[in-house]
Amino acid sequence: MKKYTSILCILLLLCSAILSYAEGLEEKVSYSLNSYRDNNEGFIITNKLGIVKAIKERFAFSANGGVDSISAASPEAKSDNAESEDYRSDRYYASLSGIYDDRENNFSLGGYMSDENDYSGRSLFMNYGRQLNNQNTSLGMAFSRTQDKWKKIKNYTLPRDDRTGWQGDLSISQFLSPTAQIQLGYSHIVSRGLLESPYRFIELTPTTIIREALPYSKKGQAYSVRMVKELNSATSLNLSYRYYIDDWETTSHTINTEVYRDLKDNYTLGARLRLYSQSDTKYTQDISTYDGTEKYRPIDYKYSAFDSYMLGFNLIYKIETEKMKSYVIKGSLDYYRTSDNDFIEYWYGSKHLDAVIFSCSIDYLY
Amino acid sequence: MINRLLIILLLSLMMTACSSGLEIVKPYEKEAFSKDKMLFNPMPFKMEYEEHILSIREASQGGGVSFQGGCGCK
Repeated sequence: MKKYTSILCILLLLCSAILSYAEGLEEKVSYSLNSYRDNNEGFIITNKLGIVKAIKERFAFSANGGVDSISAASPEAKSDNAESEDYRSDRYYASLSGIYDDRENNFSLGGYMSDENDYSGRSLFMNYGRQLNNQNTSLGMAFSRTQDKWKKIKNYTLPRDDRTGWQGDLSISQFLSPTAQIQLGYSHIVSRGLLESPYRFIELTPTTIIREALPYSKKGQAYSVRMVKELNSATSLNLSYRYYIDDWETTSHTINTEVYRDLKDNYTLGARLRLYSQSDTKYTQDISTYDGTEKYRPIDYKYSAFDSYMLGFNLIYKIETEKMKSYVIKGSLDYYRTSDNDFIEYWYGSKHLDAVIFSCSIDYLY
Repeated sequence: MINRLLIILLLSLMMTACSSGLEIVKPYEKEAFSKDKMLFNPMPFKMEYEEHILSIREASQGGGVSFQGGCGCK
């Protein structure tokens, strides 16, 4: 709690100090509150504060910081050997990036760090965007490199403590007409190190457990297409599709549909439906067949085949004030549900996962 | 891997070249895109959080719009 207060205080001081001397570009201060709660006592609440501030006509910087409070039913509670307290952790994170934007080119370079009870994260990221064809086509490139570390876990000696990775993204966006735009994207993701969760295990007997074991390397690719289309002056349609494949032989399909409608000049209401389907990995077996002799042993349900859907509502509300200053308030509520799954049932005791995700943000544009 | 990247890069370049043959939308015709509902990502904070949560719950990654920092939950 002390750390959390300190981070927010530092960011607020930083915001107020910088507000006094900068100019140009779109500048804003943002606050967002997000929460996730599921039917298995999983609860995550996130507070995040951010600022984008111009330093000169084409240069700006962005600073963000926040905290995730995470609680869950204790994984160790499944074992007679362990304590049955609930799992609780706070995750603190901050990022700082420099931005260059001359309307034809934009470039940003930044760093990120996070810290929680059992894990620390360090990342570098950069983005480059280029406008072409009279600003009808834009190319985007992004790269990030992570260098994370596991800390000590109670009652367990980790086989290794590193988790590193990099991700490269390419995208191309094209205006098709005054009311339609399309975007194609490609991501290449490489993860290395301790990729399994040290908290996942199977109880073979009341005194014997076998832990999750995964390969120390994973490479995945995602191909995506997005389209936004104005159906009439008050209504828009936002569609996206993603195909994912990795070298553990997981494949997935994701479809997201959103419809937005202006209710008044400053109110917009949106409805969304997301459908997701994935296969299992080549290492995944029926959970009842694991006996400890397997080289690799995925236990988290996310390595098994399942489907999920998400239904939700979005609200955008704008308050214009004098001198071009304005507030933008955005809120959403979504319901998430997976299909029935043996791994979920083994771990959580219910056949599927139900969750409610709430999000709210306030942008102050000055 | 390099081959795949080259193919993507070539496709992007081809699309960029072909796109010059498409109807050019003039700046004054882009008024509709000034509204949040016409963005590819009208709810950026929500999407960032949702991508983080879903990267814990689902095996898929990428294809998104925001940088995701490291987290032990994943």
